[in-house]
Amino acid sequence: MTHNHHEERVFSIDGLARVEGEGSLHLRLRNDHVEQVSLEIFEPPRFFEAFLRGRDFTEVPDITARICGICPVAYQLSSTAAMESACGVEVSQQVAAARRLLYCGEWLQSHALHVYLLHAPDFFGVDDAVQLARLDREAVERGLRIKRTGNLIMETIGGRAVHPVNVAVGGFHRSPTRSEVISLAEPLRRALDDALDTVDWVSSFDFPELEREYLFVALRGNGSYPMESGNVALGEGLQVTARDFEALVIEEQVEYSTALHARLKGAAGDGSYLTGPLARFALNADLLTPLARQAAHSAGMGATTAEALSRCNNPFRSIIVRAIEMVFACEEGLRLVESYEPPDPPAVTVEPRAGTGVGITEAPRGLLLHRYDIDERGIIQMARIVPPTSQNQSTIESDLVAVAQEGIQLSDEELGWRLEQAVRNHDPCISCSAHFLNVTLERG
Amino acid sequence: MMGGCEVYGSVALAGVGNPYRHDDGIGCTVTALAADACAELYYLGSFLQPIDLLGRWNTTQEVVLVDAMCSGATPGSIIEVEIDTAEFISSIVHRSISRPPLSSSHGLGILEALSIARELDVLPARLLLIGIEGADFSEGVGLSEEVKKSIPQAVDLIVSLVRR
Repeated sequence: MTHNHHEERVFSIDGLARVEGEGSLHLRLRNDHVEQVSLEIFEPPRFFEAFLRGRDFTEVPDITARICGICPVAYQLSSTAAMESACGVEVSQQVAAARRLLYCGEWLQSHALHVYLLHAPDFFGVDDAVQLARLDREAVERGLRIKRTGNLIMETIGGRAVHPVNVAVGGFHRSPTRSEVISLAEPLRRALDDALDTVDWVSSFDFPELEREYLFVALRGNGSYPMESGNVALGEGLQVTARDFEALVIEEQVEYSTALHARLKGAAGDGSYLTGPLARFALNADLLTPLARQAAHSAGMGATTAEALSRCNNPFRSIIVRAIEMVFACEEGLRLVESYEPPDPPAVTVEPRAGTGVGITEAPRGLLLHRYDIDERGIIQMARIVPPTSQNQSTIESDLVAVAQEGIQLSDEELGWRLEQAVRNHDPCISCSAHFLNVTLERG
Repeated sequence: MMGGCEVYGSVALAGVGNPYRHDDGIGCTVTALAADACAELYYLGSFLQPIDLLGRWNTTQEVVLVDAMCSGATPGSIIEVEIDTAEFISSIVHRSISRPPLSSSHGLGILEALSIARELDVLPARLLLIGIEGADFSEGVGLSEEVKKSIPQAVDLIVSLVRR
């Protein structure tokens, strides 16, 4: 809904489409300057942190997986990493490799959903994936094939595609057999071809011009592009451990949202920062596979050599980075399938001890932080979960200001559309962050 | 065509919904019971994102989908709708997207998924949607008493569809 008085333009989108969960966007322009912006998350708070208290430490992967139907693996792997850290346990290499393969599946299904069904319609000027399928049937079929491969990996390793059930603190409940895992190779080879075609497809889109200055925050991979482990890189310089990063993240309640806004203690400006594909790519492009780097280069993103780190500061181009990450996930998945050895035993025995554990992994849309304090019996005394959308929310609001300012000459309809698109650039998962989309634009 | 379709039985069955949202899980419960009761039903699964159903059926099959409804009808009441025309799906989708989107672990809803299937020519030969009115869609497991009472009738209805 748009109100337009002489000096004031009000943009009010009360039901943001093509994002996961419920939220709205309100923006007021006065004399062509943004006077007020708020990304409002009104999905009810879900109190997961509160009802984790008093539960057994082994229950976290199954309880927290319920937080999100799109990125349950992220919740499982951050929570188990935290508990294993608290208990002083390291999982076997075979478990670590199988977990990384599981994460490849989640990245593929989540990125394919966002790229093809949620984000691409913006670039074709259509309302949804149904209209996109009418315009470009082959593309939507390709996206669904990639998504299906991701689901297949999650079913094979995780037991099912939605809220997998096979992840345990210390490993897995059951080790998939080698023949089950090797059957993923052929779908992954086809998905790799489809992912490469995806990079070509999205790099042909017309992107609005916008250059932002972000503080990128991502895991820095241990020799390979980050998913399930690594230190946290705060821009291109400083790296800190998961535990140190947790201490740096401050969360604030804002009146208009049921999601907390995260800021980084000691960071420049208001402490806002960006996690997710743009951050991972900026800080880890040298760790992509040669084929993924070549695809990035072909898409105009640089990054052809290990030395040539690339940054992409135009959030509208994040769709290209997601496509590059799909290429990587296919290649990495293939590598892990071909070298798979069933974990034996499926899980190491984990004895509880009083302590604190922090686990951080790279959910498809950004860093997911879990911290737990447990007592000597393994009973959870305190839980803290900081999802990527909470961490990105302040930066998304800054993007909206920049997009409104850059697009001041646009009609209300065009600007309203672009503002919605600016939110979707970051693939927010509102269900996760509501602990929230609608758009209101006011101009004056 | 989408890849990966296998040869299935004559009638395929899937539950749609979230069993962690009380009565939203009725489709999952009823389809699992019907699949157990009738070997002629090919169970596609439950608790799936609706868009993921598209790769699980083939275009020569009869498919039955069971989902919870929130229409204002008496909880536990059952409707059976044959999704037989493109216009029907379009009109429902048009009505649904004129409202604010609902939070859902479904990602894309069943009607959007079916509309995409129509565009891609991967709708099954016949598609029946069975809706069961729910009473409680809050977070948590377990069905409300009113909805539980509808289970035998819903299972019988599905099995009777196979034997028609």
